[in-house]
Amino acid sequence: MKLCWNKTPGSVCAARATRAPDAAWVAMAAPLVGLLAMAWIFSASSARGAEAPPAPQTPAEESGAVERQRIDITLDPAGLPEADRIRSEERIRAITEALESDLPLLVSYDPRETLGESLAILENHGVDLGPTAIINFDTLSAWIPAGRETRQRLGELPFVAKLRKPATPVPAGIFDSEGIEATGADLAHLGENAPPITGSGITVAIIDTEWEALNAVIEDSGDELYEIPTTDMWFETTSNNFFNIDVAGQGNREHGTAAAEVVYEMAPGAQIIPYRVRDVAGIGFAIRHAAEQGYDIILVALTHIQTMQDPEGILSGGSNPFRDDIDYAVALDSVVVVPAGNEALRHFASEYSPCAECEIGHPQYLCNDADNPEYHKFLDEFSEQSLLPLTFDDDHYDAESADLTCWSAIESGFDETKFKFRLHKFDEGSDNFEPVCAGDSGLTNVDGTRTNLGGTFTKSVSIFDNDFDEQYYYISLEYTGDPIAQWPDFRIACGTGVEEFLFITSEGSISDLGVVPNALTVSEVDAFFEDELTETSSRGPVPSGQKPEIGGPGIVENFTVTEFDFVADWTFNGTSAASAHVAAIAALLQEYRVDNGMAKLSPAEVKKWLMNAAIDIEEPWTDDKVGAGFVQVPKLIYEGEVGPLDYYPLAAPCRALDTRFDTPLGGGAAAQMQGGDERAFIVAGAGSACGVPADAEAVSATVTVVNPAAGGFLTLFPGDELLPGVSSVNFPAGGVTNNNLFLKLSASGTIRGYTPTGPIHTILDINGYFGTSQ
Amino acid sequence: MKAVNQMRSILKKTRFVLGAGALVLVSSLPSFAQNASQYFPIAPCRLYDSRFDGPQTPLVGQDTPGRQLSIKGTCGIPNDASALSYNVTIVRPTGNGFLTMYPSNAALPEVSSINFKANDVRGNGGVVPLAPGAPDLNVYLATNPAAGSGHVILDATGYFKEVPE
Repeated sequence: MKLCWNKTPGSVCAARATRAPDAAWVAMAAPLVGLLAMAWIFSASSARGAEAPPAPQTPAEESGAVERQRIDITLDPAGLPEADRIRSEERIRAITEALESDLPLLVSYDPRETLGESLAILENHGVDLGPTAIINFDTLSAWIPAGRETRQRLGELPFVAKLRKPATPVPAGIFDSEGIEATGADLAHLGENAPPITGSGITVAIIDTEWEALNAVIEDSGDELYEIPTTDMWFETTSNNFFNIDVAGQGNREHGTAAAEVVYEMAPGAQIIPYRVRDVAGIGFAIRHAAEQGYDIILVALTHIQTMQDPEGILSGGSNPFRDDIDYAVALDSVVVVPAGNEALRHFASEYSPCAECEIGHPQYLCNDADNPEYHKFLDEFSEQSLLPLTFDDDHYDAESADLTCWSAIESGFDETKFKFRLHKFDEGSDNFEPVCAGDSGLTNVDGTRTNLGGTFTKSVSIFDNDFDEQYYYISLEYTGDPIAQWPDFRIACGTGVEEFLFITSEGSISDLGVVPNALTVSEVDAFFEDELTETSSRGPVPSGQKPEIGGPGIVENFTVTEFDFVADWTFNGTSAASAHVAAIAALLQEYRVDNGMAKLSPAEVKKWLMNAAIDIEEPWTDDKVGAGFVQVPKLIYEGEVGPLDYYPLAAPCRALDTRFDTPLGGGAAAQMQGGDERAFIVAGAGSACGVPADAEAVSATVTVVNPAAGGFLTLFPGDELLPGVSSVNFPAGGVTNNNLFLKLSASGTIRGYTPTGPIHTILDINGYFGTSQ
Repeated sequence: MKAVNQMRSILKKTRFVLGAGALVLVSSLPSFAQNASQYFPIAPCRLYDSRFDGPQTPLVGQDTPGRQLSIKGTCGIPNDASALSYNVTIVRPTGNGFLTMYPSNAALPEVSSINFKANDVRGNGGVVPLAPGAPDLNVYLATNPAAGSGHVILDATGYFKEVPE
């Protein structure tokens, strides 16, 4: 593990260039003892070399009476006042040692203490070191009084190595996301049939860990780039005890920049407010802050695994680190869009189980380790993964080693010190690829360290074996306590931030952000094929309700700045990319509402509308993998006037729906609509019982309600729209009531029904349809 | 096959044509084309609810010409709409009776848009021509005994307008 505290050229962070197939990860770090809430924040939309320019920050506008400007200051450690210099060297040495060992991290680096004298001098020169300042080892970012004079004074200080105006613009790429067309955002922008909708007047806060600057790209590339307009970047730091860790040596990256590009391309009129966070606490802080500013949409393009949707964490309302923050923001009417996570291929969940069935020679279990007589196996249904195999795909690496981090969670109420997990390396010198119970010499401990389940470890691992083939690793478990009657549920996820592993158990792999009920949680659909959930996209079920809600386009070719050279990887992948698209579509919806004199939608309404308008993929209707389907910009906002339409009578009136008998619900009582139900019915296109063609825009129908338990009403509306405040048929209890209606259809030919009171059976008979003149 | 195509061609030209207060379905003969209106669906949208809109008073039976509404310009219904497709709901009238919906520039016609019994909550869908300008739609309530009352809700499902050929 290397620390990266200096972003300047020639720093210790000489990172190799890597490509990254997935989105941001944020993970709580190793076992900590009290003092320090250290967090790792690492993400992986892309990686690049070490020569990262400073984060983009716009200069201050007028702020009060004094005009201010944002400035980045690089300190020269050699020039620090003696006391500061000694303290700083000591602390950094101690931290480095702690991180390179497996000892709990007991040391912290508080720059306000360590650099106390230097900071006091800077403050005397007008540097605002209040909460908006970022102090990160020897780099600072802060407001100063505008003007050459201040800068000159600061520049003359012996411990100031460099002053730099932060880069302002975030350049947008010459490629636009395929998600624009795939979701219909282009039609909204175009304004062919209705006024253009671009997200104008809507604010989108983007909370991320990585905002890298790109003016160097503009200068060097010669390519013509346009700028993404953003507000002043607002920096958040809830704690000075943070590190800027160069996770796995990947250097500084631009995950947030990529998310901003997507939002800008999808909703070019929206105002983007970038938030930079540095630790887990900062995420919650930024969510609350953005909500308090009244920002309409809050995109948290990060994932965090700590409880890993631990059911207890949600149900008790206790330990999910983001639930309160997201609830707070939603209560203030901010739509909080979060990624489901990219953990499907590197996540394992099961019930811990003792090794009672283990037999010598059994190929699946590692039981008989001389050091550890109590190795245990996983449940039989996961027998192929009884030792979790970790295999690197060498395509993704041009380095020989990487830092592998494994997170874990265990059901509450168990003594986690009794449940250990650790990493094994398969010895390439052995022919025995499958570990066996006894006499297996194929596996060796990477370093012999066991970690409590619920904890986290990071090991430096080699990517290749001696023959330059992929190196295999395994995770094993052991229990060291007395026999117990009931074994805990547990979860493990491992990754380098850039790698996926073999299939483990993808179910229930949604991140701690994504599992929060009030968040709009986004899975990742391949933007090219539009009907495939990506294999990495985390999926439900979660105990607290439907998750994820919707799939967004991932694997999109929009990313401007990868490795400075425009030739590497242009794509922005993962549920981060998907959620950025969805956040932008939410902005389009809100602009549509405002432009048409309506109140902005509540977060719940945004969620509902997007789910209604999604193209159903994966399982029929809403499922635990993708949610309601692939996100679409609701057609209503750009279609304008629908028509003129002609009436096409059917050869004979036809029953399109009868919940008493129809599949897929099989008819009967179970298929009745219950009070509060909203259900979509296929009326046109493939699946139409009456042969109504896919391009039909409306039908002329008789709707009948059969034997309702109570009086009430049924509302029928286009399947891709939001429930309107109307009724289609009002009925008393019992009997049969009907009505004749013209009903507009959704883009996919569905009608959605809603009844506040149930149960009811519903029949829909069609006598003809309305379509465009041929 | 040719016959089928001809049939299809005729079907495709079939459209709603609005006559004097009555809806007839005919083939689009050239003599009708000038006045033909075509259909434009909308998401269902509440145009009027006497319980909450305007004076928030129920309609009064036998009160001619009835409640006068200006529905064009709301729910996305354009000013050149010639007719409205709707769902009208009567809410707890004091007596048996009926509602008549008709364009504001016409005399009260002898038709009913929905018939009901006392205390019903029930709806009926239909199409009604709209008068040019405003008001454009009258809703007349008849009750037995006379001068009863009832609330009325009107939801739009679409509109017709003339489209130049």
